[in-house]
Amino acid sequence: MRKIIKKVIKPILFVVIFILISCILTSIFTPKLIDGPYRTTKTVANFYLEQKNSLDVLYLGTSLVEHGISPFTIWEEYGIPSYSIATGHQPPIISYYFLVEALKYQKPKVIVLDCNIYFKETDYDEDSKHFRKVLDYMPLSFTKIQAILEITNNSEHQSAVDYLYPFARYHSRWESLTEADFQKVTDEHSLKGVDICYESFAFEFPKNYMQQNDEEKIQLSESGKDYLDRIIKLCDYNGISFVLISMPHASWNFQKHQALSQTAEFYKVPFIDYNLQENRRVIQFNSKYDYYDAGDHLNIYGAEKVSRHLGAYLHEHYNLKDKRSDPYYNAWNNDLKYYKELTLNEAIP
Amino acid sequence: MNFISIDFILFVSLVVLIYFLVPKKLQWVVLLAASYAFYFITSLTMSVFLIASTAATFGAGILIGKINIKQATGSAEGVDQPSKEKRKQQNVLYKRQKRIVLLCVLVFDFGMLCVFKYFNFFAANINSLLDVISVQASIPRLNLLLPLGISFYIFQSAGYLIDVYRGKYAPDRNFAKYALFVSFFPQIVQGPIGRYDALAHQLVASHKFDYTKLKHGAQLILWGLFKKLVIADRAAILVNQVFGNYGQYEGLVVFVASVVYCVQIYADFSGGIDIATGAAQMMGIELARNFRRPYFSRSISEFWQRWHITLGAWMRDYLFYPMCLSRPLTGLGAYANKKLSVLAGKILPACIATFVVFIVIGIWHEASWRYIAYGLYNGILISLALVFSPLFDRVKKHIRTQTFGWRLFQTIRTFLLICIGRFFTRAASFTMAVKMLRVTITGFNYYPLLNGKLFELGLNKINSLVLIAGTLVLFIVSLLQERGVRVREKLGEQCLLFRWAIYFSCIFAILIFGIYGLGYNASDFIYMGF
Repeated sequence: MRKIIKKVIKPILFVVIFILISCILTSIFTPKLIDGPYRTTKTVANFYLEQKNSLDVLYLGTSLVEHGISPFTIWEEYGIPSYSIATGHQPPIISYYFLVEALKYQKPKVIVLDCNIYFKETDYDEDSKHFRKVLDYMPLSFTKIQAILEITNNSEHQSAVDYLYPFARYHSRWESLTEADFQKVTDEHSLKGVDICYESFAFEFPKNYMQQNDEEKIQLSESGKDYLDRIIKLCDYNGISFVLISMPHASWNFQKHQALSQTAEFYKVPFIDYNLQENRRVIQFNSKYDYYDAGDHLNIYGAEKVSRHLGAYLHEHYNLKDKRSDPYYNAWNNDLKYYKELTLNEAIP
Repeated sequence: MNFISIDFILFVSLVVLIYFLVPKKLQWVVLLAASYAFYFITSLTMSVFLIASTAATFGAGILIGKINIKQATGSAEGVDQPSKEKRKQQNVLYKRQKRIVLLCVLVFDFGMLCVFKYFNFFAANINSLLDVISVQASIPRLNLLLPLGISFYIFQSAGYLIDVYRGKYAPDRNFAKYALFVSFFPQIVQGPIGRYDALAHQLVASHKFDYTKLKHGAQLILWGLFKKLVIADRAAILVNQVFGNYGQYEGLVVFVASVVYCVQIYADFSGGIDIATGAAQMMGIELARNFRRPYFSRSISEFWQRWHITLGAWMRDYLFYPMCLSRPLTGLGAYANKKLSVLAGKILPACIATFVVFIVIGIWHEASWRYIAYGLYNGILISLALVFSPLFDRVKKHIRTQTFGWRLFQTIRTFLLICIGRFFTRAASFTMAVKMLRVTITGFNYYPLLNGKLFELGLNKINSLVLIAGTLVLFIVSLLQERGVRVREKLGEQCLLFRWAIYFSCIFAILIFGIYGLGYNASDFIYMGF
C-alpha cells in the first residue's frame, strides 16, 4: 500500500513543484510595463482587482487613451466610476477580446472607443508584443484561448504554446532581467488605467489642420472594420451604449474624420472628434502645454481637459448615477485622494 | 517532425502510453504504426523509398534464405544425394545465385542513395571538367530533396541482407516485423545504425512496464536536450559567426572556433542520439551505443572506435574486413611480403582498405570535396600510425607511457588533430578550409585572449560563460563515465532532495538557457513600450 502511494504521490508532487517553479519564473520573465510613461501592465493587472460590476464606463483604445483620459477626473466631477482598459498600440483584436473578458467581471453602461489605430492593418507577427501586453496578464479562460487561436491562425511564427506557456517565449530574457522584473504589478491605489505624465513638449497644429480637402478618401483597414463591427454588435447584444471618439493627435486628418463619421452614422453611434477645431476650442486645448510628446500623447493637463468634456457628455446623454456617496465606492474616494496628491503637486505651467 | 520540439516529446509520450496499455502481443504493432506515422508526418512523399528499400531487402533476404536452405540440405525434393563433384558444382551455382540477388538489391538500394546524394556532385564536377576541355554539353542539376534517414536505413537494411547472405542468421519471414526493424522511428533520423541480430528481437518482443527504464530513458532524453539546446545551439552561434566571416579574425580566434565546433558537433550529434536512445529505452528497447566519450581518445584510431561507433562498425564488418580478406588485397599483401618486408605485407592491405573506408565515410556524410578531404585526412593519419608503429614503439621504450602526463599528452594531441580535421567538415568548401587553416598558423597571436575579442564572436561574456559552464558539466559527466561510474544508476542511489534538485536544475537550465523559441529568431520581437 505504501509503495503504491509512493508511486502515485511522487510523480504528482514532481509535477506540482514543476508547475510552481514555472509560475514563479513566468511571473519574473514576463515583461512588465510598470514604470516610466507606459504602465500598461498595471492597467491590465489592476483591472481584475476592481470590485465586481462597479464600473459604469470602460474606455478602449491605444496609449492615446491611456494618456488622454483620466477616469478620476470624471469621478471627481460627476461621480461616474470608469476604467481605462486602453493599452499600448491596442490592436482591434485585443480591444474586442479584452472587452469580452471585461464583460465577465463588469456590467458597464457605456463603452468609449478611440479608433486611431483602426486604419492600420494588423500584422499578427509584428504586433505580437501589443497582443501580449494584455494576454500575458489575462488569466487563462475560454476567451483567452479563443484570442490565442485567432492570433496564431493568422500568424506565421507564433504558436499557442508561446502564449499558454509564456516562459517559452520569454526565457531568453534571462540575460537582461532588471529590478522591475521582480516587482509587483498591482497597486495599492489603482489609477484606473491612466498613465500620468507631467512634462510638456509644445506642438503646433499646421494651419490647414483638419480642413476639408479633395484628397482621396481613406477607409478603415479590414481588421479594423471587422473588429469594430464585432465590438459594436457585442455592445448592442449586451444593451451597452457605444461612443466613438478620436483623441487630438498630429496624425489625424480630415479623411480619417470623414471615414469615422460615416462609420458612426452607419452604426448610429455618436462620434466626438477632439481634433476638430471647435472641440479643441470648447475644451480649451492648448497644444503648447497639453502634449507630453509634441503632438502624440497628452500629458495629465491635456487629459483632464478632454476628460472633463467627455465626463459632461456622458453625464448629459446617459443615465449614469452619481455614486460619490455610495458606500460601495468608498475605496474610490480614497484612491481619488492618492490621484490628487500625484497630480496637484505639479503646477500647471 | 523535429526531434527537438514539443511535438516530438508529445509524440513519444503518446507512443509510450499506448505501448504499455495494449496487450503485449500487439506492442510491436504499436511501434510499427508509430514509426510509419512518424515518417508520414515528417515526409509523406519520401516514404515510397523507405518502403521500396524495405521490400527489396526483405524479398532478397527470403530468396537468399531459400538458396541457403537448398545449399544446406544439398538436394532438391525427392532426389538422391548428389556426388561430391556435383555438390561442389551446385555450391558454386548457389553462391552465384545468392551473389546475383545480393548485388542486384544492393545496387538498387545504394543506387537510390547515390542518385539522391551524389548525382549533383558528379554532375557539377563533370560539368567543370567539360568546361576545362571546352565541351559545350552539360549535365543538368536535379532538384532532389534527400529522403529522411536514407543514409541510415539503407545501410541498416544492407547490413541485414549481407548477414543473411553470409548465413549469419535466417531471414525474417514476417514483412511487417522486418519493416519495423528498418523504420523504427527513434533511430531513423540520425541512427544509431542497428544490427538485425541485436535489435529485431527486442522490437518484436513484449516488454513489461519497467519504471526504472522509463525513468532512465526520460533522464537520457533530458540530457540529450541539455546537450543540444544549451551547449550545441549556443556554440553554433559563435561557430557560425567566425566560419561565416573568417577573413575578419586572427588565427587564434579561428582556431578557437574550430575547438568550439568540436564541442558543438559532439553535443549536437550525441544529444540527438541520447534522445533517440532514451525514447527507445523508455519502452525497454536498447539501441546500439554510438558514442563513448570520443574526445578522451588517445589516437585517431581509437577516436573512430568511440565516435559514430555504429557507422565505424558497419564499415569495419561490411567493407574493411571483406576488402582485407579479398583476393586482390591478400595477393598484394603476399607480394609486398615477398618484395618489401613482412611488416609491409601486413600493413599495406590494411592501409589501402583504411583509405577506401575513410573516403567512403567522408562521402557518406556529404558529396563534396571537403568531406573527401576529411576522409583522406583521417585515412592518412591512421595509415601513418600503422606505418610508423614500429618506430613509435622503439621511441616509447624510453618514455614512461603509464603516466597521467603521457596519457594527457596523447589525448590533447588527438584532440588537436581532430580540431584540424573539423576545418574540412565545417568550412563551406575545401578551399575555404585550407585558407582558414593557413590563417590559423600565419595569423596567430595571443591578443584575442587579452582584448576581449573572444566575447565579440556572436556570444557575449555571459553567454560564453553559460557555454563554458555547460561544457564543463558535460566534461565532468563524461569523466565520471570514463571512470566507470554509471551516472543514472548512481544518481538513483542518492537521496530524494539531491536527485530532484539535479532533475529540476537540468529541466530549468534547458528551459532558461536553451537556444529555442521566438526570442532567437532573426525577426526578434523585442518587447518595448509603445
